[in-house]
Amino acid sequence: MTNPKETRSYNHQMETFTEALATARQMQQDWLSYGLNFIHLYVDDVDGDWLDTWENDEIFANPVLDHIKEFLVSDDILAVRLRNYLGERSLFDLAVNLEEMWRITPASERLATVKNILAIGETDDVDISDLADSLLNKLTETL
Amino acid sequence: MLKATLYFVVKYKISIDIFLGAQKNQSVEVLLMTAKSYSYSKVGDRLQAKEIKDKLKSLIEQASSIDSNLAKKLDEINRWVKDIKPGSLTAKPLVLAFLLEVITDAKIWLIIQSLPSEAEKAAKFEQMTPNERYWYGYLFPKWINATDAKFYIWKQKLMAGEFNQEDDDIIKTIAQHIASRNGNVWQRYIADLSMATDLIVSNHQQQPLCIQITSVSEELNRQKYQAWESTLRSWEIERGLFLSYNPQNANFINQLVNVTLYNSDYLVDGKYLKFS
Repeated sequence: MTNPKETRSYNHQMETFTEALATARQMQQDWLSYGLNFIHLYVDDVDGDWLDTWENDEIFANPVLDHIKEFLVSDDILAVRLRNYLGERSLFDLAVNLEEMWRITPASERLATVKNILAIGETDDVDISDLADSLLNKLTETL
Repeated sequence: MLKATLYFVVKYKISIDIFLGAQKNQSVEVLLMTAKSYSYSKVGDRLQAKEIKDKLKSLIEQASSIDSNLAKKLDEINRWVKDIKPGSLTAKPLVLAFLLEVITDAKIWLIIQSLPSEAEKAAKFEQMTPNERYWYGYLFPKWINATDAKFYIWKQKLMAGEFNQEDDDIIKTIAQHIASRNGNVWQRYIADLSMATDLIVSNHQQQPLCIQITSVSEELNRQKYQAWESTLRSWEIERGLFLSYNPQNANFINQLVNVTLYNSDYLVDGKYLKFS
């Protein structure tokens, strides 16, 4: 399928509500005409190397968080247990909370904090204690 | 020549336009319009893909003081894009289309959220079509605030190239038919990836209806239907239409469009209707 020949400016029209909504509508209209190819109207180098060179910026780069996230989605038996336990709750939120705990909480209070992070209501649950304990050990080993 | 001069002028100092206009006895508006339409049509106005990342970053900063959940979500997207290893030809256009949509929607949301009073916010929603209002006022904020269990699956979907050009063409064709019959359609990649919704459609009654269109075989269909219904319920989408089609049937597009427009007007809340 050929790409659309026209082009659209995205930059100039996003300051006010009316402009932003008009942009959203125009993009929608362009999708209606071209399907996914509409993106070529707006972006010059769709097939360039932008995705390969998309790096975290220094402001947001956070190796600890990245490490925790990687662990949480891994095949590690503890990670699987955690995901089962969490159900629909967000892994990203858990990762953010754990990273914060790692950065801020004194070592002596970490276990209690991890329990709190994991707990939904009651914090005395044996499962949660065990899970929190294993998780903290894992983090201590790997971070 | 005048156009070239104007382009230069617009690029560097807009006030010179006024001076030029006065000199040539042209109204300022006419000059500005010419300059504006000229600059809009030049090829260089398209974004470089890398600029999208800058836009995302600046939105994260903006959002952090207005809506921290949105900032978190955008930051998550920023990190998530980094890890995408494109596994198919459609991955790059799809990721860009998704990003540009999220940036536009986030911008609209932030503009509304920065308004000082509820009345002013409500007035902005009043300017929207029913589909837009449903999206920006209901589903998009739900997505911002939800712990989206499907979020991690997205990346895998994109990398595996699960995006299907044929399905996309059929969805687009159905959307075109609906639009040509004065129905309204709204398509969102977030709705597609997270909410099992290919299109949001409204008709005479202005009641947005979420629809999913699929071509899978009968046996798989049942499973897919159940997963679809539970996804819709989990997002508190009150009703929905699950359309499966047989591409052998020459008239299937018209049938699907008829069913969609009718049900958009008449399907009651709490119903998740399957049509095949």
